[in-house]
Amino acid sequence: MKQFILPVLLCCTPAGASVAFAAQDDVVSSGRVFRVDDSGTVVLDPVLEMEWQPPGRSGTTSLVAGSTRVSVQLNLAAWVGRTGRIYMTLPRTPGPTVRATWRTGGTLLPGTVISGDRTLVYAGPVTSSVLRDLIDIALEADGARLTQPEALAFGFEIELDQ
Amino acid sequence: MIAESAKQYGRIVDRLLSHSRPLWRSTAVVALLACTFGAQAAHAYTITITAGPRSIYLQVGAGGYTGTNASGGTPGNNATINVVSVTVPNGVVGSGAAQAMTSNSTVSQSPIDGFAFCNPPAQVYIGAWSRPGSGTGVATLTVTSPANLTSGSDTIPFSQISWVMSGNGDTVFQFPNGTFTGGTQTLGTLARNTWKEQCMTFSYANTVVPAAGTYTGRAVYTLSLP
Repeated sequence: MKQFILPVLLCCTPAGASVAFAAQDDVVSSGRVFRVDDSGTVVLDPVLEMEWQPPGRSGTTSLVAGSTRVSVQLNLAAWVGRTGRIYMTLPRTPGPTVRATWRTGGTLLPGTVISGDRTLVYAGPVTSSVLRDLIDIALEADGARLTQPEALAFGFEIELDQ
Repeated sequence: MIAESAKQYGRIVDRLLSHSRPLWRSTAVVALLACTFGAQAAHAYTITITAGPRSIYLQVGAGGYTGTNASGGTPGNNATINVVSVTVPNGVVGSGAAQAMTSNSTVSQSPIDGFAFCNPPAQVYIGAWSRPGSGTGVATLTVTSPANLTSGSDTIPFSQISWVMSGNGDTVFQFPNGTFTGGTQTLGTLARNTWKEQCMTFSYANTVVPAAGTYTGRAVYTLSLP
């Protein structure tokens, strides 16, 4: 048993890291897209209790919404001096489709993204290793399908020019 | 460095598990922990959305909202029981000419957003929402009325009173028109995290000739979530 576990550990840990790098290399060769390290990003209120939106006078509404502020910090050190486009991504979840709309402090572009999609937030040269902005983000979803708390894992990816 | 740390951790785990756990379980634990190292590279900021705690709200006529829901208002209790009434002129009692009823409710605005939805005194606001929380269930809205309006020992069937649903700018009516039956009637259901509202216009059928008097009765609206 001891002899079995240690090989699994020693093999799996480097393998886990190498899998991550290998995935990036694959993307590079096909579209020069990299996941951006946004671990410095902070969400002011990371748990939102959604509220109903006006029904548009149909006499019923299940559209729910909530908003919060996000201090975005992107680590772009690996691409300083390069030119490209940064997108904010919102993976699809098992729950309702979510629409996120945000305003920014000016460094990033305002926009809207729907679950399973991505939206451009920056285009141009990467001039510094860290990009910061403050965004006010509003989320909307169909409350009738919001059966349980949904964790929306936003992310950023950069697509480099050739 | 990581490999060395993992090796040390593996030894600790091994000491903890090797004498008490099956092989496959300890292997699974260690493999999971090790692979986590590789997944920390990019991160993602997470916002969790929830529908809020399990709760329901019903408003017929006067309600308990402080402000509007859209402006952060919160629901509350209101013990007011509104009155819908009509005085039938002597000459038309029992003529079959329906008589429009009016209410002492002054609620015109939807508590959702303050929109002027109803037109009192001719209309009475009715709205309800349901939040089942993490549980399941569809909320049901019912109204229960006695068989008769009464004035001492004299009676008028409650079925003489009907209602029509509408609302300013409304396009799809959420609750049906109807007539009290002297019992419990289902007006509608509310799916998870849904808010429905409407305005009720009541009328008296005036097809009976009762003894002179003031007849009263109470219809009770109930929203239930199993």
